[in-house]
Amino acid sequence: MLKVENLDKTLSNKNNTFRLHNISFTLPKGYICGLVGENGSGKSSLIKCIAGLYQPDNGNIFIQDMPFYKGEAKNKDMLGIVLDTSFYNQNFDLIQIGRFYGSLYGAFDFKQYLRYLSLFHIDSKKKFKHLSKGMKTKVQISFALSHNAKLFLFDEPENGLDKNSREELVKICTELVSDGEKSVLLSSHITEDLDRIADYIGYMQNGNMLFFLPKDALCSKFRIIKGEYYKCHNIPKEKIVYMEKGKYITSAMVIDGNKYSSDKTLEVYKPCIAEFMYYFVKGGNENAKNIAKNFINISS
Amino acid sequence: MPKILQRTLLISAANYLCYIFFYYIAFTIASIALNNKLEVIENMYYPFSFFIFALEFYDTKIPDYIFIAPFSKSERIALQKKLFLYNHFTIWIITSAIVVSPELITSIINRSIYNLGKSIFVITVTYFLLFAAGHFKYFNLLNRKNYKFTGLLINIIMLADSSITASIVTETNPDIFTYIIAVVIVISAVLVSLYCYKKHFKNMLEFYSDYELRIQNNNYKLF
Repeated sequence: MLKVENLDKTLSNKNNTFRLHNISFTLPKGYICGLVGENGSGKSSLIKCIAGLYQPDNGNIFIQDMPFYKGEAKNKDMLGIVLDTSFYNQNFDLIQIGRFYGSLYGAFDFKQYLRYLSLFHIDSKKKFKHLSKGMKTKVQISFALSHNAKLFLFDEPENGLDKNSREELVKICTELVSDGEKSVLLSSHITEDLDRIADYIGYMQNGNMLFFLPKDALCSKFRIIKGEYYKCHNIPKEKIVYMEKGKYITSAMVIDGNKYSSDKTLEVYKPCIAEFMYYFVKGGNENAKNIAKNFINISS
Repeated sequence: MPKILQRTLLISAANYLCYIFFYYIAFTIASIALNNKLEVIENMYYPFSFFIFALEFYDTKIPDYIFIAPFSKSERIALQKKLFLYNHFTIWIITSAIVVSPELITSIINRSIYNLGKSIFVITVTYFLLFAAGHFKYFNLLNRKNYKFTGLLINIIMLADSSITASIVTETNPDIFTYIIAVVIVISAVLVSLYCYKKHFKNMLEFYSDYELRIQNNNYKLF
């Protein structure tokens, strides 16, 4: 569904320069990818490149095997986009937004748009500028789901959403990909939701995509080991992503740590995405790069 | 006209009418305050010099959503071009109607070739000066010294042209020198707008049709 090849993009303003460097990954049809990374790692910039807002300096983007800029209008018609800032006219009410912007798409279903607004408990007669941040996100989601898009790009859609709405969004994402024809690329800091629905995890750091792997394959390479310090201290250093010495218990994320599960004095289990990210980030950028290069991408 | 542009155009025209209204009121208050008849109520040629700068106070650009919507870059450029030209035409018609229509109607009724000539002269100069004025905001947004200088130079020419136009058309006893100046004004207005068209029009359309360029030069947070 989505293929990104060797994408490079330099973004600069008066005070800063940031670079997306050599990003490559493929998201097949019918799958959900969770894009994770620290703040400022380039997740939003990558999503904006795929959405066509920023033109890459190098590399290619393919949507359903068509180069993005060869059929830009057709490709954008297939995209359902939710960004941190909305592009709607702030003085429009939600009905106007549906009618006005919906007319730009070939297959916009206005009734479906109203149904989604109702599902999210939003009054369609309200003006966009009078909505809270979370409600504005819900409007964007409702719109994105209403024009028969094939690829959904969600940039931190859960920001500002209440728990019930997040549950609805998780349910919607699962339903979207269930027919095997649509895909979702979702950047989020709420890793509990990604644990539940993501099929792939893409980890970004300083503009680089350190890895892009099936979630289960990624987590199966690592183990969290908890136990007394002298036990954890015996683990070879090159296998340790990060070790955290507590007052009573020491914990570490370890590569290929499954062999320690036979030791009854140690607690050994597969990390969730939140734990994975915690230890990966704590281990430092250089360590993360080395681990990605030597242990993750080689065998992927 | 594409539906997506209609609202932008309406707002632009409404803004311009408010702008003219503001200047008219300001001139009237000034004339009352100074206890000095500036003839502004009888003659719209005096505030004319300010009307043509209207397009410099705001830019008319395609709505932001166009960047996400299913349009290619060439389609966005075509839309931006349509918007610019429609906007220019609308502002020109409004300006011409407000400034010259009393004179034009009088000239038709009285069959005065001289007054008709004056009206056509003002309408022609307005057309070309407004076209150049539409580039000014772009020059400013680019945030580069040479472009700002270009914009300033064009402004100086526009101010000179419009002030002298207002002065010429209110001349009660024009001589041959007046007519020569009128021709020079028309030529300079044509030249300045031709310069903008040849050198900057295409780049301006591309600038407004590129999301990254637009926000980069508006000093928005890029990432």
